[in-house]
Amino acid sequence: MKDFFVTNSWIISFLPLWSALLIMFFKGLNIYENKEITSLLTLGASFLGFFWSLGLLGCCLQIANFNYEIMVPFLNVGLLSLSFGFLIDNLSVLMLLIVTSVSFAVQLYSRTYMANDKEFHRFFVYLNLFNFSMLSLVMSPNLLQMYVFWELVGVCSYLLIGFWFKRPSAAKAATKAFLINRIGDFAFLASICALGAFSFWFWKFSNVPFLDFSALNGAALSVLGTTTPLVFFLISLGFVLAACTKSAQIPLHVWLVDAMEGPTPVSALIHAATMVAAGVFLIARVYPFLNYSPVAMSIIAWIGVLTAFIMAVIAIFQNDIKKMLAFSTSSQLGFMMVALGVGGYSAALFHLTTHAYFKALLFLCAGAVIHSVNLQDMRYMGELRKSIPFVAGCYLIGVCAISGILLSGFWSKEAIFYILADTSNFGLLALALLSSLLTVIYMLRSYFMIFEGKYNGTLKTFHIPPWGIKFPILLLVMPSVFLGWLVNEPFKTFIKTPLALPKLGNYEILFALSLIIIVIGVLLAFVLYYNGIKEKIKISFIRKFRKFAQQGLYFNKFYEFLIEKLFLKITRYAYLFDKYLVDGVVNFWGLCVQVKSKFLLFWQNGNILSYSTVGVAGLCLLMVVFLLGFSVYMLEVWL
Amino acid sequence: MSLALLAFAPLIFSAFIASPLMPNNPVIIRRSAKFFGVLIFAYSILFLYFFKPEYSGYQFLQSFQLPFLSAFESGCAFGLDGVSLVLVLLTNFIFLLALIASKGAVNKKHKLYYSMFFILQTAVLGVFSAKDLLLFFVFWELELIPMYILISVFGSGKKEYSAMKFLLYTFFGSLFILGAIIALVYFYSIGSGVVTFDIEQLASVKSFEYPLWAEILMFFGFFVGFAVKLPVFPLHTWLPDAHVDAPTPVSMLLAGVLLKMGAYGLIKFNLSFFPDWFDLCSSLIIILGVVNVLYAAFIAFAQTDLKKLVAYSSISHMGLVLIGLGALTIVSMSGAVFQLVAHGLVSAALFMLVGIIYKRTKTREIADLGGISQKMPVASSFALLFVLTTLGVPLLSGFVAELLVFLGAMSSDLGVFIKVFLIVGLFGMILTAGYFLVAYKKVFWGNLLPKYLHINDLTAHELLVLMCLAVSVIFFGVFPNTLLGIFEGTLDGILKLI
Amino acid sequence: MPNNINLVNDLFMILPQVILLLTIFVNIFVISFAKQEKSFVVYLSSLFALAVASFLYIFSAVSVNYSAFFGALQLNKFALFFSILICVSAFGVLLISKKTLKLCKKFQAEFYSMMLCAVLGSLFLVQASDLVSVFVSLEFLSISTYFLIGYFKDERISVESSLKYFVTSCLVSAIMLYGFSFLYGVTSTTNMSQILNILINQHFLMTPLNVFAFILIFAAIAFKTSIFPFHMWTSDVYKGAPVTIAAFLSLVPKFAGFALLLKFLPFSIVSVFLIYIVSIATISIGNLLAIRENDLKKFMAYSTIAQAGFILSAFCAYKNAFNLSPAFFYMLIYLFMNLGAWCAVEIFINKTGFSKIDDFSGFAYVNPPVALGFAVCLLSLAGLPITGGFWAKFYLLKSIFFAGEIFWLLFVVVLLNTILGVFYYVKIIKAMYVKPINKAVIKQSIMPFSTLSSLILLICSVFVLYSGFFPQNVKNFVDKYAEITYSIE
Repeated sequence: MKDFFVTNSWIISFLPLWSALLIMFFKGLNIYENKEITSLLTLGASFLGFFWSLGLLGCCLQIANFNYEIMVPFLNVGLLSLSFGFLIDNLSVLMLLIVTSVSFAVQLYSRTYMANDKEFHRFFVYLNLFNFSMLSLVMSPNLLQMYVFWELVGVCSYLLIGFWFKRPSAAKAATKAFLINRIGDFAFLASICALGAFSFWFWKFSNVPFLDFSALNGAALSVLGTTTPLVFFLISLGFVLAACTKSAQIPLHVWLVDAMEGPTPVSALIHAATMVAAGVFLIARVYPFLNYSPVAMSIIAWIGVLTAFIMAVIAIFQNDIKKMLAFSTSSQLGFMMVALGVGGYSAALFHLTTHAYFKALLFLCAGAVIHSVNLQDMRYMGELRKSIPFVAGCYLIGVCAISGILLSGFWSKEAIFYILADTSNFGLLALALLSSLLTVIYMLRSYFMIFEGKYNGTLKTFHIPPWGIKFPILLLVMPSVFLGWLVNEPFKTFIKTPLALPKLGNYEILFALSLIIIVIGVLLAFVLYYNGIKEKIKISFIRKFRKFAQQGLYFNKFYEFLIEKLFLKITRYAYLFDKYLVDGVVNFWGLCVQVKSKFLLFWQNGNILSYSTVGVAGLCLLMVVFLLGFSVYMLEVWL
Repeated sequence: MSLALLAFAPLIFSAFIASPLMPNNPVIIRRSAKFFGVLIFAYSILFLYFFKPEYSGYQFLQSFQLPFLSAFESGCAFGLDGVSLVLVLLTNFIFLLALIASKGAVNKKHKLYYSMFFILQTAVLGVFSAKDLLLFFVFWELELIPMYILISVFGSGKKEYSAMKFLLYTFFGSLFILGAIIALVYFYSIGSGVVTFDIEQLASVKSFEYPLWAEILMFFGFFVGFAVKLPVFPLHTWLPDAHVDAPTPVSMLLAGVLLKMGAYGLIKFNLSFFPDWFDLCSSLIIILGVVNVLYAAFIAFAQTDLKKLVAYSSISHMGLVLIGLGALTIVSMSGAVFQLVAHGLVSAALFMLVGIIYKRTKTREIADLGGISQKMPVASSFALLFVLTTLGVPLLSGFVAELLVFLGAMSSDLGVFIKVFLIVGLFGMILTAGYFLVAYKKVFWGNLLPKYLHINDLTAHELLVLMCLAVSVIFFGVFPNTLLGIFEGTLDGILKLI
Repeated sequence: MPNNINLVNDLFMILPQVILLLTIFVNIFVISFAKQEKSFVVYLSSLFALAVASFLYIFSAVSVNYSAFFGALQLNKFALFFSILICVSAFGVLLISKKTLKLCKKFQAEFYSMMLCAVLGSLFLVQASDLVSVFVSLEFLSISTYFLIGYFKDERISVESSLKYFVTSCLVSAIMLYGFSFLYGVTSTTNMSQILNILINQHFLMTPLNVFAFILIFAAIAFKTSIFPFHMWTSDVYKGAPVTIAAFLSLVPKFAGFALLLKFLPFSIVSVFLIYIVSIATISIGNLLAIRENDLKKFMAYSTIAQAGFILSAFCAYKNAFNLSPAFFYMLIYLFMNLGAWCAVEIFINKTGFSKIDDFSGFAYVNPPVALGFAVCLLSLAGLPITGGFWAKFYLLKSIFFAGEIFWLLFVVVLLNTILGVFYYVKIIKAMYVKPINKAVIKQSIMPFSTLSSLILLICSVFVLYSGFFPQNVKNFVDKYAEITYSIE
């Protein structure tokens, strides 16, 4: 039984692929209108996948350091052989569980949420393709396969953001998301190529499949042996950059906010719970490699903590509910990054796990809210607790979880603070704590703006969410509430930091500090936002800062300036260069010939006298030439 | 298995179509042309079946005892190795699809069109299967006039200018090849006392046996000739014009097959005849390749014409081939050859799609298009698939080529400077994504312009062509070994020369 | 030196010329006493005579080397080859000239006779081996040609071009005679093999005088073959002459001129260098002139200048192992491709009355077979495969390259010039196939086109294609003759 689960684990990722193909096939027949079959196929795939992953979890819990790989050759050239396969170990099983469970909830939700969309089937095809890619990504045994599915999840995200492609904003957002992710892909591929090239012989001699995760440690040593530390650092930096783009870290976070143009379930699944976590997952996977570059590690930590802080600041000033959540996602991913950067492997993944559930929960609730009031701007909401109390309750649970008010987020964040303190990174710790405070404030702010205070909208009747929407939310509430308590301790042994484990001191003071921060945060939020946004503070500096923060610190504007004013201009000049100079040289020769031709035709004037003159003159010229040449020759002979 | 029959069958068909035997009825001409196309393709499949990939030399050797196309110590000799076999198959495949695609694109002078079409096919097949330098050159030149006629008669826009530019530019390049051929034979004859045009025999000479300056001249003669065809910056300016003004099927051929002749020449002649020079110049070639990738990508950004954009992307992608060849490892060269096939398929598809859009909207200006995905969902899905293939998205054929080229080039024993430069070249993958996706967004997504309310989706034959290309693109992306296995042995043999 | 004369043998050797001469006499007799309607008889007999002459030359023993009439004539391999070229091309030109002559409606018979006279002069020139016989036969050829060019005496332009040709020709003859006088002054003999003997034995090859003489003699060759510096008359004369005479001028006198060149090549050590320079100039000038030309006949004139340049460059390599084969190969292919092109021009001009390249617009869709034949001949002239012209050019280039490092500049020039060639020859193809149909041409083309011309065009294009596919067969034929033989005693 155990063997059966493990050896056939590839089926987890192939189930969604098959259901996508089946839906496409049926749709292609043009007789297929049944939405039930589509959603059933999709849900079945996720559910079975979840069930299967549970079975794998069982195996992993039974056997310590469980590790299983299956390989299929992908391409062989010369000495190079690349293969695809599936790696089952604790980390991948954890990710499998997260992805399948969150997707199951989100798909269930989408079944109702998207029911009236004309492109229902297309949506589910994309969703299934995404699941396939994501599951294959987390099960990748080697860097190459990881890259392959890394890009494919990017493509699926592109497709899903641009799902409503008729809206120009959605089209733009999708393109932007893909392009920025492309920078990360570039970095990733460059690093893979460099890593593979510099450690090529290591793989050959050690007889480990090329680029396999299991031997990254040795590969790192081999790279260090063949090149300079600078090159090694650059390779590491490539991985960092890749992770930063996928996980929306500063300064490449700008795509995530725009990605909210996609349907809300997509935001919940891809842009909150799973795909954006791939960056963290990547760092976790190549951890043995990066560990040899302390500079890269500290870069990760600092990027992470800065993201966590800055995104939290921006989130405070956001009025669009989904955008606020997007900034919050970025910020939370920053927490994971900072943990990874200082070696808190387990803490980061723990936060990843809890975050997946509560952020999905928040997004689904936000979707329900949007569904019922038909807009996303929180300024025009308020008092909704009375009309949709269920959603309000669930949202509050989500808020508590993410803010660390004793629900799951508390435990995972606590783990991060511990590791920061443990490694004596007090600067990072301070910023992280500050971000945590800001998290409380902006999350409660959103809750107050949506559900409390006075209603500012124009709608008379609200769309009450049906059970099709409530039930998946309920599914996510459970892990958001209980996960922290239940798996806090077992998690530390389940996901072990692969390298030297930092010894955990006893930091009661940290515990107390977090609690104090929570209290401060809650109080502040109450004061500032309970009755809608307080616009009373009219200090111009704050107003200016608000505008500054609302625009996301002008990162977007800056990039737009770079691209439009600089890059596109350069390309235009390049085109002119090509057209007039490179091609001009070609046409110039043609012109030269034509001019010469005209010159010669000028002499063809029909005048016999000039003809004879030319003839005789030509003859004389030849004579002169030859007699001169002849005399020179004779002179040489004579000398 | 007669290679000569394969090469000359299209010529015979062409004569048949042009002859009075063929009634002047478009439908009959088109159908019989398709029938011939299928025949040729089926016949070339047989070669794949009988091919022995483990053997690195020429196979299916055939030479004529008759004084047929042979004089001046050259012989009419044919042979295939792994690389040429792949390209022959690609040629026949793309030609067949272009034939099918001709239905909507060509609606006058059918006899002329199809006879020129088949002459072109003979020329390309001959180039890929000739085992004799002079024979190779005959076919190389034979390609010019049919292409000239196809562009200038059936094209659009400044077709006469573009066709003439194509003709003269390519002819200019081929003069270098001719000069190099004659010089090579001359120096070979001085060394060995035998005047021969046989490729195998000429390749058997180790480099640096000829006078140094002569080797340099010959190497660059060949190189310039093939660089024009490939094309390599700054010899590329014929390509955008020719591609843009050619009719859709001909653009498919130009980008899908004819550019590959340049790369084939580089492998077959520059590399086989002067391996040491190739080795010596590898940095230069890689730099040229990187420049090609980036320069063309930059210019593609500034394009407002959809077809021109695709044309510049072709140039950009041929840069990858140069990089792969320049790095001189089995991995990168396999990547380069793989790129030939991958680019052949995908560029044919992209030009087909541009043609499809143009046929319906009567414009290729990106600014004039918008939102047509709403009216052409199937076409837009295909377009997305092929755009993603060009970007090098994994599990599609473009990725394999890109990966192999860069992985191979990085693992070669080049200097650090070149490797950094390679990474700069890899930057092209972002640029490519940039211009393609922005163009895709503008053309297919967003609000539908009211003037395009009437347009309709793909017709059956367009669907067939795109379907074939899509299937092969995905197939080679998922199972690259099927293709790599064919030419790996040949490339291995070539690399052993160094 | 032959000091006895075997009249029977000598006459037998010049049997083709004798036949032609007799035919001319008979024709003149017929013209004098018969009516105009009988011109068809003259036509047939002329054709017959030329056919017999060609036949005799083609099938005569190749290894002949016979000196006759006290060394005035010498029949050897290369003379035989030129004789074949001349007879065949005259035969072709005669066949296509029927239609042209119908336009003027009179004196047809004289035309044929004069053409035979020109052929006769050319044949004697080719075989001449004495300065006197060279001069006489050259003048014989020239005088017949004046007549032919000015044949349409009612047309001012025809007469004018005849006069131009006449004046230039006289000038050139004088210059040549001047050159001859030097040779005679040095050697006191007019027999060419003796002159050569003396020049070599007494080291006269090295003197400036010799160079002087050779360049003077070269003037006549340059004039006949219309190469630099005596190329300028070509366009005017071709324009003014009847179409078929223009075709004739581009073939028969050219071959005769090249034969003359071959005879005088060994007379100076500078000859090869002279040809080197002149051929570079000629090819470039011809090509450059042709690029902008829109008049069909003038265009053909410039094209023949360039082609003559190519042939001339082939002679450069004659001293090496590859001897005359490339030049002869080129000339043989040139005969057919040029004649074919002129056929098409003749058909077009005589059918429509238009004479501009632009008027060719859409001709391929008015008259597909003729256009196709024309296209084949043009491609061959441009040197594109699969035609004989391609192989000719390739053979030429190869032999130039193989001739040695000195010639590599010429090699490059020839290579580069082929681009120009491709440009302007394809221009006509473009007019025929690409441009929309010229409505005026259709309206004008009331006259039925000559089937004979089409037939010749067909034969020419088939030969061009045949030589493209089977160049070795053509080369084998040419190689039999490609050997220069001097009897140096």
